[in-house]
This record gives sequence, structure tokens and C-alpha cells, in this order.
Amino acid sequence: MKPKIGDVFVYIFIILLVGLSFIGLKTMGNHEGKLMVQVELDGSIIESVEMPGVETERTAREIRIDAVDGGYNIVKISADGVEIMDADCPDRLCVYSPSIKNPGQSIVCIPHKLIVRIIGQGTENEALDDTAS
Amino acid sequence: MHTKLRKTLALSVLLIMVLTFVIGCTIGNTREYNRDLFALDTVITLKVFGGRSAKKALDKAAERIREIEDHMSPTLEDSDVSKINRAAGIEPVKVHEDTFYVIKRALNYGKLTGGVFDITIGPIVNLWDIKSEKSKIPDENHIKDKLSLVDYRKVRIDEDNMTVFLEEKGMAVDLGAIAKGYAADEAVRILMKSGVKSALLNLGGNVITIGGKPDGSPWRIGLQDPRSQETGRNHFAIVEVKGATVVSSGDYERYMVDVYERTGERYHHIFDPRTGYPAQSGLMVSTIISASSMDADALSTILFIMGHEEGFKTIEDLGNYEAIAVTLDKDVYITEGLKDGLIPSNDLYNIIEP
Repeated sequence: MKPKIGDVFVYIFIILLVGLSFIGLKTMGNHEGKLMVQVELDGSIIESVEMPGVETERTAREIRIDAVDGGYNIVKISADGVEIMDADCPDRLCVYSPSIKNPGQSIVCIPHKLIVRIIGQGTENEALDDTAS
Repeated sequence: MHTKLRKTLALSVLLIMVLTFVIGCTIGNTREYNRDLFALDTVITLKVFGGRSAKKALDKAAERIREIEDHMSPTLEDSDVSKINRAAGIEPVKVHEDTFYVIKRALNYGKLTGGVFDITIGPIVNLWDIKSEKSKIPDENHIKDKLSLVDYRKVRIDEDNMTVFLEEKGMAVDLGAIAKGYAADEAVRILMKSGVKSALLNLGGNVITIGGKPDGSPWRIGLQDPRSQETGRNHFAIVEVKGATVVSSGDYERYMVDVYERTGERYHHIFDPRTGYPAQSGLMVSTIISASSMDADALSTILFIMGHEEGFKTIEDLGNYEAIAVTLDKDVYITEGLKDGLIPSNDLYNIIEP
């Protein structure tokens, strides 16, 4: 018995469906365990880098962020955490902010409209939607 | 026989396809929309779930927050607050409905607490100037001088003409302890009017929720550990809420602590209008859970200044509010309604049964 054209469509459809779900699962699974450092300037994400793991050798790096008003912030990312090393904002509160390393934590520079966030899955934070502070 | 089997098979597959399509569309309709904005001297994040109308609602809510900032910011020259302060001791100033309403409510809180909550704290806030890197502890005489200008009873409001007048020159109102709450309530009102049934807003640490999560479960909100630098922990406990607001006031907020900790003492940003110094009631953080964010904003400040005993009494007399007070010894006092609602997450903090 020859397969009918309708059957062929159904087979293709099923194969496609399986393939797509597989790809979907893979991409979703990719970020598990990894922490990302996300730099957001005035509402849009301008940098997104992976946080170096504790086991790997120190891969500290500094990123210079040019703010909208011509100012700057220097963001240091290392296995020990993320902090702002220097900035020319008037209050420099971002520079005084303690270093962050857990998902959900952030450092903010309000004058420069800058948010540096750590994104990923953590132990304590895992099931939380937000933090009241 | 074969034809029948094939027909059944084809029908089943068709059914699955239709179902997949329908389910896919339903899920696709409840999308997540996010917005970050810098307003009211802080970071605001809005997360809204819903269809396309939710995105429009999000735009409207953001716009409304900006509008409130325009009226109440102490740093914008054309804001109502700046105008009122410039005209102190000179003349009444006509203000927007928003500003009038917030000031009226704030004065009520002043009356209720005998001046523990006082929006005329402006001169003290400016004297301490907590935001500046070079700020230092002001001289006692200066504090005394400025304290004589702090008195909510010297704010005259005129409902018919919508004007506000500060009786003495040098007086200044500061709506910092209540404007964020009002903005949150307004954002919620706009989102709900547009049919949003699930949203999570954060206005500089004030968390506001509409409904529960899209799946119907409550939002899990961590309460910031006030000594996270020492403890290495993020939260001192967790609360689960639906359609409620969670607002904390604490001595740990970044504006103050690190600048002053070099002196060894913690000079935080919540001032006691009775002394002119940062409040010293023995609390590190106070939290209010309620329906209205403006009330929660004011009451968390009041609780923080009053301390746990007097503060809880005031709040329990009002009803409708749940409160948490964390002392310097890491004891966590809670109101009756939170007996089963507060989830311990940090063994360094000792939750005391009400």
C-alpha cells in the first residue's frame, strides 16, 4: 500500500514537532547553572556577559560604560563578583555599593541610568519573584 | 478496514493539531511585558502579564509615574514641591490634584502620629545631605536651627483653591516617604482599569502586585536582609502575596550606609522629626503588607521611627495592615495576621510568635 499524500504531511508535521521541541529544550537548558552579568543603560541592555566560574582561573575584566550624559562607569567582572570600580557621577554611590555575585542582585547608578544585574538561577533566590528592600 | 483505520488516525492527528494550536494561542496571549524606568529618584521595574492590551496599559502606567514625578520631585524646578518650597513664608501655591491629595494624606498621617510622620522634614534632609560624597554629620546647633522649621501643622492647605502654603520661610516639604507609594497605587489603578490581572511592580524596593502569577499561584517576595554584607544572605524571610504591596523602610539602603560607615556609625536616611537625627528606635528594618502602597509607604516609615512596640500599636489600631519589625538583635516581630504567612528563610533571624 502506497502512503497517501495526507499521511506524508502528517509524518513531516510530527517529525518537525519533535525536532522543534528538541531544539527548544536544548536552548532553554543552556543557561542552567550559568550566571550572566547584564548591563542596562537607560532601559536597554547594552552588555550581557557570562560571569566567570569560581573554578576557572581569574578572568577579571573591566568594562567602561559611556553614560548618556557623557559620563562613565567602570564595571569590574570577576569570579569574585561584580562591582563598579570608578564613575564620575555626582554621588558615586554605585562605587560605594558592595560587590554583588548572587542572581537577582544589582548595582544601580541613578544619575547615569545604569543597572548592572546578575541573572541566573541561584539557591536562595530560586523560587523568588522579587525582593522588597 | 485500512481506510477506516487511516481515517481514525487522520482524525486524531487533526484533533491534536487543533488542540496544539488552541493551547499555543492561549499561552501566546498571556505574554510578559517588562519596562525599566528611572523616575522618582530611583529605579522602577514594571512586569505585566497579558495580551496586547497589557503592553498599552504598561505604557500608560509608565507615563503616569513620570507625571507624578514631574509634580512631586524635589529636584525638578517646575515641580509643585519646588514651587511650594520656594514660596515658603511668601504665598500659597496652586498645585496639581495629585500633589494636593498626597499632601493632604501625609498631613493626616502627621496628625495620627503626633508628628512622627512629618513631610516638612525637608530642611533636616537637606542639611544632612545624605547623597553627597562629602557629607558629614552636621553640627548640633545647625540641627536645632533646622528642626525649628519642621512642623506639619504649619502647612496650610486650601481645598477650594487647591493651594498649599508653608507658613515660615525656610520650611520645605519632602514627599520622599510617600510619593513612591502613591505612584505605585496609580500605576496599579491604571493597569487594572485596562484589564491587567497579573503584574509585579518594583518602585525602588517597594513591591506591588496585581493578582497572583499568571498560573494563579501567589508571588513569592524575599525581604531584604538588612545586614546582607555581614551575613552574606539576601533575605531575612519570605512572604507570599496576591494583589498586595510589600514596603520596607530600613537603615541599610544604599544611599546612606556606605558613605557613613567609615565613621563606624550608621547614619541612615530616615530622620526622626522629633530629634533631627536618623531614627534610633532599635530597628534595622520595618515592613508593611497592605492593599494600598501609599499607606504602606507611610506606615513603614512610621513603624521604623516609632519602633516595634509603639509602632505595632498604631498599626493594629488602624486595622487592615500587617507589619514586620526587625530589631538590631535580629529579632523579627510580626503582627497576628502573619503568623502563618511569613516563611523563614534565614536562621540568623529569630522570628517571634505574636
